[in-house]
Parts: sequence; C-alpha cells; structure tokens
Amino acid sequence: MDPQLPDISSSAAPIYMAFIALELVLILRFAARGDYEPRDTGTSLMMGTGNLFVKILFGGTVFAGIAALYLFVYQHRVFDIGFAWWAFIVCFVLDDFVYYWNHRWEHEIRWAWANHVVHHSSQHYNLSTALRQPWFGFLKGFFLLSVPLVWLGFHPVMIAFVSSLNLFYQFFIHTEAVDRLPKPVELVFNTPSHHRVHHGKNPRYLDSNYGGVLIVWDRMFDTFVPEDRAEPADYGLVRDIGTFNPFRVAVHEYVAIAKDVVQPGLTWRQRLGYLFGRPGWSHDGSRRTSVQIKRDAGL
Amino acid sequence: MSNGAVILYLVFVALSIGGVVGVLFALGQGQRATLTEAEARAFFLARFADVQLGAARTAPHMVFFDLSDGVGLVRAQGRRPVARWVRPAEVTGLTRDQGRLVISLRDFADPHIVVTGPDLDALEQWLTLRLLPKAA
Repeated sequence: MDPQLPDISSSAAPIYMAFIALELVLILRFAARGDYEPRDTGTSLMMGTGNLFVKILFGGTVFAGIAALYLFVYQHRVFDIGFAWWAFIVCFVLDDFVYYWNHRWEHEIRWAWANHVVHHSSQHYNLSTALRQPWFGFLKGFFLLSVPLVWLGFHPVMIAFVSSLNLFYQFFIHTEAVDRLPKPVELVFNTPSHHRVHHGKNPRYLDSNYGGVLIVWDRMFDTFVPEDRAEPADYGLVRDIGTFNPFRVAVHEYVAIAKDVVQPGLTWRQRLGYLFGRPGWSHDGSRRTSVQIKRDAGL
Repeated sequence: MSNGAVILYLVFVALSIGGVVGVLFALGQGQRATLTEAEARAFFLARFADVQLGAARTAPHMVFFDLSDGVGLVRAQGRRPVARWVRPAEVTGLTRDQGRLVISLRDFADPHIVVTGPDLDALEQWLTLRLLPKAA
C-alpha cells in the first residue's frame, strides 16, 4: 500500500500566520527591514486562500486527472525506487531542478506568465507576498514536467510531498527582515537575499534567481544575480497593476492575452506570439520584453 | 480532512485575514501614498522614458500630466505609487458620481480611476479636453 504523505505547504496556514505576525512585530517594534500595507496584505492572503479553494474545487476533476496520468506513467516506470530515505533526498533535488525550469519558463512564456504574474503583482515584499499565489496553475500544463521523474520510478505521492516541502521552504525567504545568511548557505541555497533580487523589477534584476530551494541551478544555467546593496530591489511588475481586487489580480493577464490575440489584422504567427512569446512581446514592437529592457539599460 | 475540519480551517483563514488587515489599519499602516508634483514627474519618467511631460494637475493622492497622446497619471496604490499612461483610445467615459470624478477605461485590471478633491469641475474640463476630445 502506498504511504500517505501530507501536503505540508497547503496545510501550514497557522504557521504562515504566526510568522507573518512575528515579521510584523520585528518590523514595527524592532525596526527590522520590511513593510506591510493592509490592502496589499489582504489581497495576498486572499490569493493564497483562493489557491487552496481551487485545489479543493478541482480536486475531483482536474487534479484527479493529473494524478491518474502520473499513476499510469508510474505503472510503466523504469526503476523500482520505492520509499527509501535516500529516494526522498534524490527526489527532492530532482524536483527542485524541475522547479527551476518550471519557474524560468513561467517568466519566459506569456501563457505561463499569465498565471505566475499574480505572485509578482505586489509592490511589497514580505511573508504575505509568499502567499500571493495564482489560482489556475494547472492551465500552464507544466505538471507534465514532473512526468520524467514519475517515469524514472519516483512515486507521485513522494513527488507531491517534496514539492510541498519546497514551497514551504520558499515561504520563509519572502522577507526583507533577514539580510544575508552565512556564505556557504548563500552559495548553495535560495535565500531571502537571492529571492529579493528575483522579485525586483530593476533591469539588472530581471530574469534572475529562479531556483526554489537550491540556487545552484541559477549558477549552473547563468541566471544568478547577487543582491547589490547599492541597488535595493524595486518590487513589483515592470508595469504595476492598479488594483487590489483578488479576482482581477488572478485573471488580468489572461484577459490581456485574449485581447491581444483577437486583434484584427494579425497573422497566426503573431497571434501565437502573443500567446507563447515572451511577456512584453508585441507584433509592432510597441512594448518591451525583459531582454529588451535589459539591453536598453546597457546590461 | 472531514467537512467540519474544512469549515473550521476556512473560518480560521477568514478570521486571520480580517485580523491581520484590521491590525495593520489600526497601526496606521494604511495611509495612501502622497507625491509632490516633482516626485510624481520623476516617478513617471522612470517608467515611461522618452516622453515629454507637460503641465500637471493634482488631486488628492494623484497627479496628472499633459501628454501629446492623453495624460500621464501617478496615483497611490496603497502606500506605493503606480504610474499609468491613459490614452484617449482606451477611455470609455468621464462621469461625475456622488462628488467623485470617474474615468472609465477599457482595461480589465484597472477599469475605473476615481478622482476626488475640491476642484473637480476644472479637472473634469481639463481631462475631457485630453481624454475625450470629441466630446469636448
């Protein structure tokens, strides 16, 4: 019989709330670096709650379908890895590698960005920002990226467990209250410092630090950018949105894609460009992608 | 998880969200950003480079700038400012509603810009000329 492993990330709300309260006390009482805004925080928390609701709402359909796909592939696995302790460690590292590419493509493909933009839509960076999660992640189709792990022989339950551990870890790096950690930690792990860079819209910081728990992937694939104390991260989107409405935050980029795709007079290639091109791509060059923004800034 | 546990969990989440937001307001963290004209000008130009910003009009928590095509707007988004280039092509109306001036836009994320303040008549006239030139 397969073991039951908890979804740590989704069931940790009491821990999240306790640490948000702690961060608030550190900021307001002990002058730690950081900033909370009530409407922004409310939106972030509602986005997190909505993410959970969607999982419950689609649990019996979409997510059951994805689980069925994984179990089908698992029946045709290459190795019988089982649930040995070392398998959890290997699975965690490989899942983190998959997370890196998942996250990187979320920033490089507009269809996936439409989902992930939610997480970057706050101009604040605190523990509540970690909970500003999208609602329709399954639309990306990136659950397919985990299929090779299942095919290798890692049980879907194990993959779900290590993925939830990964997300749980990432909650704690969404803070300005922690400056730099010891050098060996900063070298190997994703830290508050590295992730602040990822959330910055400064041209220098765009398209960087995609790692989940390990930052080594960014170092390997040349997307690592260290935090420069002389240039604090300017959090948010290149074009920030002017709403705190959770529903609008959740779907605004999907609506924008739809408007772009149905413009009259476009070729099919251009329509596909609006769907799967880089965020900021436009058929007439009237907008700028992050690559162009960096180039314009001389980077 | 049983249904009862799910309900209890959701009640906890709702109370937590309300509690955190309420505490933040009570602690005075809810003030909206206020920018001087010079700050707003610099903020807009940092986001929309190479534009020629003209005369400015101010309202509480927002500054409008004359542009060759529409107006530039810097306004409070909570405690942070947000910049927006409002072009006539995306404006669907300019209406007065209970002492407020509402700019309606063809934009799902941000469909209404609500302006308050003491001298809305003059501002409405100024905005109408730039955003709804045919109506003017």
